[in-house]
Formats: sequence, structure tokens, C-alpha cells
Amino acid sequence: MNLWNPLTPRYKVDPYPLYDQLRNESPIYKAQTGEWIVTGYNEVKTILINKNFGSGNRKLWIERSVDYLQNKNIDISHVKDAINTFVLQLDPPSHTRIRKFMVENWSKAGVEDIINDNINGVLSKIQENTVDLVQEYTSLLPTRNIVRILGITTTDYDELHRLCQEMIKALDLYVSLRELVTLDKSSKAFIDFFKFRIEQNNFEQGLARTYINENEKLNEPLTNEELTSLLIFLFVAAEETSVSFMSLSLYHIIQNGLIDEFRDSYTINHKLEELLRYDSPVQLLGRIALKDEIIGGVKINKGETTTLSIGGANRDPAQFKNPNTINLTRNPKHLSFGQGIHYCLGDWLAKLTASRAIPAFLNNFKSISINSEPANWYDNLAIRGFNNLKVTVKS
Amino acid sequence: MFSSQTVGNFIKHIISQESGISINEIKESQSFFELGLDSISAIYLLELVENEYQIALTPLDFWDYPTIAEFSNYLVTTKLAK
Repeated sequence: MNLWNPLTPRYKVDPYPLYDQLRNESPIYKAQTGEWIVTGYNEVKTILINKNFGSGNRKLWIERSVDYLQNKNIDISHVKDAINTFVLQLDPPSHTRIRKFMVENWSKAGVEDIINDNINGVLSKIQENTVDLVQEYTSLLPTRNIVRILGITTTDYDELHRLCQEMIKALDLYVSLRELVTLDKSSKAFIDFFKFRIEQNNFEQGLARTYINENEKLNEPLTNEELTSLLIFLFVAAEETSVSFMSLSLYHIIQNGLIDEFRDSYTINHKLEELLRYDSPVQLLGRIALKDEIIGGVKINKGETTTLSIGGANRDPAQFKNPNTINLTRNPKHLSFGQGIHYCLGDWLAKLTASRAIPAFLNNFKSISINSEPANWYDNLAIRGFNNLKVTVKS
Repeated sequence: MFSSQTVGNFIKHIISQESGISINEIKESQSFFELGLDSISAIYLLELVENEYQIALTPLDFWDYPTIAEFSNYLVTTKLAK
């Protein structure tokens, strides 16, 4: 029997029993699809830091799909253009070049003020009684933050957020043809959104303008197409994962009676780390073996793909005692931001946003209780989260 | 009602079109993998099956029911049962 059945509806809400089953069978499990599903902490970490595992297979798959579907008169070529500089899916040396450029020119100055401003703006509009914590709070913040960080002149936050939700499918493990066609439309919309702005350097003071200006000074500057893809990546990466991080965290905090533990912005960082371990927004990462390798006693042949279960690794009992329990004093070395050369370059932004937004929400009301369970979970194996959480609040 | 044979014939037909293998040479016991399907052509063929029978499938279905016989039987007993 195939143990790898992640598309079963109940696992969308709670995938952890599936990871446990797989890990018990083997921390490196050969799925019916031919890929290796890795759910052991050590095994996942080992592969993430191993130079003989590359990250470019997803991009290659999309590029091959574009060519294949072209022959069937189905055009999804915008997807290829939109993701061509997604740093997550590049291998060295291009990865090294792009990542260095992104990190070196990204200043943290002023970011905290932007975050606090947006929190206050969004929070001031929330009425008492029943609130949808995602729709009225967590899902509104990252778009507003990244728009101002990049210096984009727009207030069409809802449309950008919608596009991000579609674009994130580019990172999912399995997609249908229909989803690829939708992804192509959102890719085109995103490209159109940035293309003109980049050509004209039509940004306010901010990160996008810095990138454009610094790029001109390079010996081998990025093309406008590459810059477009880079900005789309920053936008998408900063968006859904942050929404998910805040939504999952607030849900677990309220559900488990931990509100008082998370009231103070300046003392909650290590507690947030435990929530990141307990329920990671990023659930799966993919790698391909560039050479034959032996991981945890299992031979992985060159060209084989591994699907790394971050959620599985973070709940591995061999690494974490009582992994299915939240323990706020644990200070865990979780893998939720990855490890190795692809370690999330926006981790600080995600944590800064959450560490300001979570206490702000909790302190804004005298009482908060869950009204109904989270609903409309993401249709995405790689990114975990939900679109609705009704809570009752009283001032 | 659809029989496994009708569904099997449709699957053979689309595989034949995809791979160029003559329909008479395709056996029900053969796996999609043997017949040249990969993770890319699979999503296209899945869409053809979905449209033909107006049903919803998942990208894993070809792998879970990897031969024409198993896949046809799966469709007839679960997706097309009513």
C-alpha cells in the first residue's frame, strides 16, 4: 500500500499523522511517484546542507512543461518568465550571484516603523464582536508591508494579495493543468505590474529603487526580466508564508490559552520559534541529487528527487521530546526557514512582523476566543495555512 | 454506466496519441511509466480524462493506479460508480 497520500482531504487540515506514519516506516521513504519523501530531522537537515543536492529541479520541470504544453497549443510561458530568477530555485553559481545582490542591498532601516504603522492602520478598522482574524488582520499586513518596503506606488492591496495566493502555486509539489493555466495568468499580471515600473524606475524611495540603481553599477547587471522575477519572488515569498505564520501562531496561542505569554513584543522571540517548529508555514522543500549519495543508510541515485518534509522533521521525536506538544521553553533548532545556502533570506522580516503584529492584536482586546475552527485551508502541499478564522473579541 | 473496458479503451486511445504506440500494441497490464508517461505528460492526460468523464482527479492518481487496468477499474468503481 502507498503510504504517500498527501492529497487526502484530512491531511490538508492536519498532515502530521501522515508524516509520523511515513517516518515510522522509514525516515527516507520511496513513494509511488519515484521521489523520496524525507521526514526525519537529521535526514532533512543533512540533505539541505549537502552540496550534492540541487534546488533547480522545480524550475527545470516548469521549463519542460512550458515546452511540452506549447506543442499542445497551451501557452504557459509567463510562468517560466516570472520564476526565472526565483533565488530559491537556482543553483550556484547563479544562486550565489543573485542572493548576494539581494542581501547586500537590502537595508533593515525603517522597516520596523513601516510594520508598526500598518499594524495600527489595520487594527483601527477592526470592530468588536466577531472578527475574521485572517481576512481582517493577518492577511492584510504583509502586502502593505512589502509594498512600502519596495516603494511601490499602489493601494491595490487586495489584487496583489490575490495574485500572490495564485503565484504561490509555483512552489507547490503537484499541480494540475488548470492550476498551471491560472498560474500563467497571475504570472502575466505580475510581470505587467512590475515591467513598466522597472523600465521607468517608477518607485518611491525603497528597496526596488535601490535594486535598480545598484544593478546599474554592476559589471554584469541583471536584465529587466531578471529584476522583474526577483521582485515577484520577494513579493510572493514575503506574503503567504508570513500570513500563514501569523495566522497559525495566533490560532495556537488562543486555542491553547497562551495569550498572556505573547503580550510583550520584546520577550516573545524564542516562543515564536517554538510555534514555528510546532506548525511550520513551509511544509515541503524539493531537492534533486546531483551525484549518487547515501543519506541515513539509503542510497539516493543521481537524478532522483527528494521531497523534504519540514513539518515532519520539526515533529521528529528523535530530535524533539514530546514533539506534538507546544513547549514555550524549548527554543528549538527547527527547520522552518530551511538550512544551508537557501536559508530564508526574509526570516528576520517574518519574525519582526509577527513579533509586532501578534502582541498588538492580543493587547487590543480584553478577551479573545475562537468562534469556529480554521476554515478554507490552502490547497497547497508546500505552504500550510488557512483563509478564515472567526474569533470573538471584546474590548 | 461505463465498463472498465470502455474506459480502458479511452485511456489506450489517448496514450497511443501521446506516445505514437499503436493502440493494438498497448496492453492493459502495462504501467503508464512503461508507456512513456512522465510527471509532465501525466498532468495533460489527466485533464483529458477529467474532461471526457466530467470528473475530478488528482495528479497522484496515475501513480496510485499505475496500470491501465488498475486505473480504469479505479475510475469505474469510484469516480464513475453513480
